[in-house]
Amino acid sequence: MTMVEVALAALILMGSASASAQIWARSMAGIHSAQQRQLALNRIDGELILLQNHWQQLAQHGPLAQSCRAASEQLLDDLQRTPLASGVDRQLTLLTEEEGLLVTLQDHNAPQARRDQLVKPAALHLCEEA
Amino acid sequence: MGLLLSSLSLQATSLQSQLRFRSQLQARSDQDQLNQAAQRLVSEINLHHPCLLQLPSQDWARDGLDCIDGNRAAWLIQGGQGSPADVRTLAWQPDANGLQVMLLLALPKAPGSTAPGGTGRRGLFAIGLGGDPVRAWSIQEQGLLGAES
Repeated sequence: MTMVEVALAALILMGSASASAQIWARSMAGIHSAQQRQLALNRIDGELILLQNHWQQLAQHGPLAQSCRAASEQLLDDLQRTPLASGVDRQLTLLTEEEGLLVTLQDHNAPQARRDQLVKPAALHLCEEA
Repeated sequence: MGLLLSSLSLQATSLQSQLRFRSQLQARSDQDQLNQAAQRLVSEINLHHPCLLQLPSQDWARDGLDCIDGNRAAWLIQGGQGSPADVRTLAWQPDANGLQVMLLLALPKAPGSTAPGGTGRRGLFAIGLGGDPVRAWSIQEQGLLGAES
């Protein structure tokens, strides 16, 4: 083997080792961020279950108000006082075209992990007239 | 060579995680849409058509119901533009005691579509009934099912 062949082989080896190391690092970063996203999704799912259970408990005590608009506003007030897991954002929108409250949950670390939960007081008999 | 193979295997795992995450996001978006539809449908029935609560959906369009006419009932079942649920009601099935209803809803199905709501997925819900007069008071998600074949 000549000196030139040895140098060429060393270059090829170094190039492929460097490329492999880059792919390895990128893949490890990808796997790490996938784990973070999965955790975010689980966190939001957990918040959603707590929310649904809370509404079911409220519904066991009968209507909050006669009017569904007033009941939606009470649900809004109630949620504004309810604590939230750290890392999760909650956006509350009182709907104007229909009586209801839209709750959007989103994670700081993975904004794609988002849930939109609609609650209509009339569906849970929390009000008696539209 | 070993490093290259292990890197490629890691890359495949990473790509698989990304695909799984995307499919989980789609499933949750479908779940949210079905949930919203269930809320709208049950709200409409509770407020305006309570005589449907303890009737299976195949009887909704029959003559003689005092809280709804046949056209309106068909509109509730078919879903679509402007109806309380933008999805089809495949089944509203009260149990023998009239205290619980199994509700099966289906999203619209657009072939090849990846847009939310185009998957045709179905959602199963348990609706709790009670009180006098009877009203629905709970909606519990029982699971997300695939599209009808």
